[in-house]
Amino acid sequence: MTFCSENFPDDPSILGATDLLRRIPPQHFYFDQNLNRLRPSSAAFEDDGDGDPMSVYLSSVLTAETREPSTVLAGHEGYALASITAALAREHLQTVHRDPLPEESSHAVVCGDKESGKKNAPKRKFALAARWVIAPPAPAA
Amino acid sequence: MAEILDEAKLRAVRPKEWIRTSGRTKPDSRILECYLRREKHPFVSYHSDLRTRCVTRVRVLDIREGTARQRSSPAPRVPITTGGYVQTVQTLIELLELPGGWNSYKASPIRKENVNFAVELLARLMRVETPAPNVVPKVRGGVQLEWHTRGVNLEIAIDSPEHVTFFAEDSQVHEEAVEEDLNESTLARWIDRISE
Repeated sequence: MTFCSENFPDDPSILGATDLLRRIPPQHFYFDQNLNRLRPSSAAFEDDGDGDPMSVYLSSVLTAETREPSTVLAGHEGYALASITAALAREHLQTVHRDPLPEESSHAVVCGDKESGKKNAPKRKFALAARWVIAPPAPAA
Repeated sequence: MAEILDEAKLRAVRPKEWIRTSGRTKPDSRILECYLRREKHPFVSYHSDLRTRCVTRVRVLDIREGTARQRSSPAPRVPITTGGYVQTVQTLIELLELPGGWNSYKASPIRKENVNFAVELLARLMRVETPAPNVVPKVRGGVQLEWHTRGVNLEIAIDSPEHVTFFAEDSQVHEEAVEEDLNESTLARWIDRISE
């Protein structure tokens, strides 16, 4: 029994195709010259500063509530919204656990070691695979 | 005489830390300059224009002063007066202004000792031709320096001055990616790959 499976067990009702949305602050995206595109840093896919697992928002809950993904960016000017799938998270030995908050019913956490694995470290895989749901805002002229 | 005056100026500055302990406030340019000098960042000082931003530009100090300091320390790889280095230092300093929760989750403020370490490490590693890294704050107060260019992915993670690791891979050659604790001679070889 691992810490995550005990405290944040995987929820099989969250389908693999479900998008896990993650707010990306402006300090966490940049232009990758190798890929020739803007992408989030691996640092955007680490657990919280207090050690809690990484927060995400479930696209399935937003859809069920007929809410736009942009609602999870409310009040966060300059942020972008990236997504990875639940299947990708599980492929990298993470659990995906519902954790609804009073202010955000779609909140969930992704629990597991995100650092180990060199090139295959989950945080790097997530950063490279992340899709922009709401792309970073264009820099001010 | 100039050196004596500088020393006197350094001693006169109070408080000694440029970020006040009573709360996260805008850095004072004079105190910041003294801080950087005291921490032996040899070439750079900062000026702030309080009407616009906390840190607005970087001034390159007298190159002769830097040359003299270089002689007394073991052969630095580079002159660190390049625009890329100066720009990076400025970005690093600005990270110190991030409040707790800066990522909208529960990120910690960036710790001064990590910024300080990054500034000194880059001074030893960067060459004139080295592009500026992407400077990325970490959620637990650390700093990450990243280059993604010339087929190379290089990330230096400074979680604390005692815990520094780096990840490097070159997609253009068939060799295994590396991830290990700080080793400046190995890092220098990776820096060479991304420097024109």
